[in-house]
Amino acid sequence: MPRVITELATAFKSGTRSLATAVSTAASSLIQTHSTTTPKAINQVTTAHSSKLFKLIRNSIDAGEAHFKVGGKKLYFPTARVILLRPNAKHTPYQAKFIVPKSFNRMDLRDYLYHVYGLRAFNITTQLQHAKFSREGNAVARYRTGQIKKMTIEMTEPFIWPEEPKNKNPWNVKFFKGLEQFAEDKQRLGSDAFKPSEAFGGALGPYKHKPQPFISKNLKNRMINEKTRVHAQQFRKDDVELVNKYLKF
Amino acid sequence: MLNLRSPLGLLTKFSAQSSQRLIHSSAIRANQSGSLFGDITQVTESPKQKGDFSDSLQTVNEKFDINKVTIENDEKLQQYIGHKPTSAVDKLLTPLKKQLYQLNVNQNGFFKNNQIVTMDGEQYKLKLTQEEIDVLEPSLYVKSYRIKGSVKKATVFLRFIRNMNVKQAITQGQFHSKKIGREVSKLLSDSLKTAPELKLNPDQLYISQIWSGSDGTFVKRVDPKGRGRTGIIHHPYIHVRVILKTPVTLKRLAWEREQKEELRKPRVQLHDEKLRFKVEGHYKW
Repeated sequence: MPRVITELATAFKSGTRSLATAVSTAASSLIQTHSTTTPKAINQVTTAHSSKLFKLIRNSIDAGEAHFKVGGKKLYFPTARVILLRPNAKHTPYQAKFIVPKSFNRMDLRDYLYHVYGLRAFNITTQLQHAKFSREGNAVARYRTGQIKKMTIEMTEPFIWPEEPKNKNPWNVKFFKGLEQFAEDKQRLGSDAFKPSEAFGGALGPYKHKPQPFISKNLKNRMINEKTRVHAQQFRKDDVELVNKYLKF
Repeated sequence: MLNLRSPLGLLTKFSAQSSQRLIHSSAIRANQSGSLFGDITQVTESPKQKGDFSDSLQTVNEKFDINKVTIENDEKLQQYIGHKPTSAVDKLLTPLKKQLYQLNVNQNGFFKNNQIVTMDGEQYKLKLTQEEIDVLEPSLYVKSYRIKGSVKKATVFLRFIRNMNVKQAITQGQFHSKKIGREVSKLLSDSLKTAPELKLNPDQLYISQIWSGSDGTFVKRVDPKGRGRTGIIHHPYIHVRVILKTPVTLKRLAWEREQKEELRKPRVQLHDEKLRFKVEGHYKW
């Protein structure tokens, strides 16, 4: 559990601190932390090695340098995709979780965050998710999907994600959900094809069947053919009458 | 440019329609007015602005509010969906036959063949086949959705409610021991709500025909048995179809039965016909 620094906490509440502002203000705020931490917290560091490490880190932070030994390999255009995740219930505001490439180790992430964003990461833990089994369609054969590597860091400053927007219209969430529903409804089996779809309020169909009398298909064809035949006869008869009336050869 | 205008009317038409439509892009794009003829033709349309998704749903009419459109009040959609509920008489008969049919029904309470009706001082006799009489009577055809179950199980209940008044059948279905009872009750009560659209009285409808059929595409499962044998478990689905009819049909059926009874020969022990054996003058026992 990281130490809660009261001054920073109040600053955080007032909304002046965030993960994004870590670059400019990191050095000054961290210098302050040494004065605010209780002696008891320092006394907790007991072993020779860890006290040495503690001093080294503190000195480098005071000097505004990297708090770790920077590697010799120079990488000018890092292509790694590091994705900041929303926290789970177990995470404190002093923790942040990232999806990282599977080839990343914790030193890589520490280096990456410091040099790209100026964020000092402490106590990095790794979670490598298991590769789930997946099937395509109804096939018996299955294969494993890729593993996802996540890393959790601890920070000296708290960060809380802004709330998710309630109005999601700009992303057309409703529209795509509707499309999904429509595609599903199109594949209904047997008599369920009569069921009106609920996608887009039912505007795209299938539509609700209207009440109808029972007429067998065969009889309907016969009677409607008869009806249209009579209509055509009547139509022709009227035409002939009209011609006879006005045209005399 | 001015010379172009008179012989090629097409070009002027082009430019007037849309300032965006260009034949040679480079030279004309330099032109501020956006027209092929520069200052000669006036640009009336405003240049197209890139809009978001909701703009594509907006029509030319600015006052049109898309949120107020429902399926019911959307005229064009209703046109696309199709027919209004129409009775068989309206659908199948010519105007003259329809009038004669209705006169006949008004006269007798149902359609009787070979009855003479008078219309506009003229006498008519309309003759229909039994099949036609049957189909022209007011009816309502109800189709269920897919129901989980088998035809064999459904038939027990469907036979029970055949020829029953619909409302009575609904009640029976709700308390029947078979699951299909609830399904059919729901189906019938939904159909009663739509009956007035065909000008039918929901209280008077009765179940003329009701049947069930396989709805196809069953999921099959393995039924493992002993000694390396297997069976197949089917999960059948069915549909139920109902034809609801009115007291008009009941009246006709009663009358037909009566007619049949009247036409039947009286039962006699000895028929009044020639003997087919030789009668001798004395007993032979």
